[in-house]
Amino acid sequence: MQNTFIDRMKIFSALLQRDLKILKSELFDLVTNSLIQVGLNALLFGYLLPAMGIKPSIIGPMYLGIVMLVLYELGFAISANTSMDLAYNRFIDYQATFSLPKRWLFAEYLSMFVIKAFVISVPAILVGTKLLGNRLGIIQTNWPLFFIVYFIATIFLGLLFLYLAMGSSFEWFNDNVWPRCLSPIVNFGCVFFTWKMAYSLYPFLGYILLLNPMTYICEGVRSTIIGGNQFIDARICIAVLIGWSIVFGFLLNKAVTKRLDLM
Amino acid sequence: MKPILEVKNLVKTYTDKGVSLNALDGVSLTIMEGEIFGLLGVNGAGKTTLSSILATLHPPTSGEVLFRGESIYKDLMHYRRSLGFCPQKQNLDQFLTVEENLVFAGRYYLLSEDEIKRRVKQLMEELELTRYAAFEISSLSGGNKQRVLIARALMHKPAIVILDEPTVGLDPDIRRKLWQQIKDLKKMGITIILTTHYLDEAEYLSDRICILNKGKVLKIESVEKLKRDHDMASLEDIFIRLTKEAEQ
Repeated sequence: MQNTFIDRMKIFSALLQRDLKILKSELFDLVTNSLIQVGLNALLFGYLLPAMGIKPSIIGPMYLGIVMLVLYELGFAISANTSMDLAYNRFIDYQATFSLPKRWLFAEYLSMFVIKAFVISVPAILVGTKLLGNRLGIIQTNWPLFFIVYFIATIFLGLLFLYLAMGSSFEWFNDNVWPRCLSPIVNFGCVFFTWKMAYSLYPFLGYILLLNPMTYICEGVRSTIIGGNQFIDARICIAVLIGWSIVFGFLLNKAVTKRLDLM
Repeated sequence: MKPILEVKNLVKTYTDKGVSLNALDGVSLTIMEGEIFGLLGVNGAGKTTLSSILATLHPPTSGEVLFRGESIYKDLMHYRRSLGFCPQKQNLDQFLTVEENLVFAGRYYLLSEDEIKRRVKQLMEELELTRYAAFEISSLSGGNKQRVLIARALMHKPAIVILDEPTVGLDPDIRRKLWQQIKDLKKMGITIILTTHYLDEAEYLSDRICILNKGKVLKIESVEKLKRDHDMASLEDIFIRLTKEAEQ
């Protein structure tokens, strides 16, 4: 019997069905958690920080940077589960014996991350944007371009977190991945400030920040939701994030080969 | 009986920090259709490495595996559909119930929804799992988890089932029950590759036994012939003698 493309699609879709079933059972908690975060962020950025004298022009960019952290934390939670499965349950070994090439298996992992990210964080962004209204300082929102940036950002983060889970032991991941890998990416990834602010303070720092993919995620989202010319252009962000995705796709492939030694 | 699997000069080398180790060192053997083929050896003999290569989880460093005369690597996806694998680690889907584990196994192997319903009902009855259908995997005992693992591997009616240490850590009465169920699989015409380090288990279940030591095949024979040839009543004594001879 030939293993056709359609058969592979059917197995791929069965894997997605399984993950969506699990997502459905977790959905209430996940959405509630994300709405609590949005509510607190709206309170903090919309009312408390301005009342404390923070410049209004930084409120919108900071808020969107913090929302990207929700996505980042989601990626961390998913990769922690993957890392734990690799160390203990090894459900992945079962999946690896399906009539499905391993690239398809990891494509399914990635697709599920994108779906989960969209289901959990996009409503939060929309609700937050509505709650904060004028305080975000929106000049012109480009929703189609926002979704493209967001889609590529989730693909990049999916690859990054899968790579971190595959490329390190569970113990190393648990003890070191946050302080040594994720914290530097967040703190020097234009999450809490814009790239232009950093560049005008120290141009050298600005150049360093350009090496960090998180810079392009935050700036791309700001550029498409707030608009104007105070952020890195979204098209540049898309191109760079595609480049980083290719790099991490390659690294993930190497890590999977080394760690799992799959056929 | 016709050969169903032929393993030819299989080598698996692991390299870590510049040090190479041959987990399998030129293993050749033939497994016949419908038999229970026991892979016996101490820890580190290469049993799990061999069974995971036969399950296509890992590639060999060199060598060939033929399924009904054709290399499995020519059409890996087709071979995988003929195979059910119960790994040593009970890697069931922790997020699903017993029944859902089986339903999804049917979907992964492209069974129709009607066929899935029929197979799930049949396998849960045969393996005495019906009352646990709605149970979470985490709430099952070790023996029941093992049965779910076997049921999952049988969902798509494979020609070959690989059981890697299926009774490790189980109580004696549950072991005996599982042995009977493994014998029943043979009656259904399924070829079984049984990896074990329990000599009584290998003796009770296997039509033929392959004794592995340090990645090499020491002997492949039926238990009766081994006992006759070595003039010994106990498989344990034969096993100890053969492994000692190999050490020298």
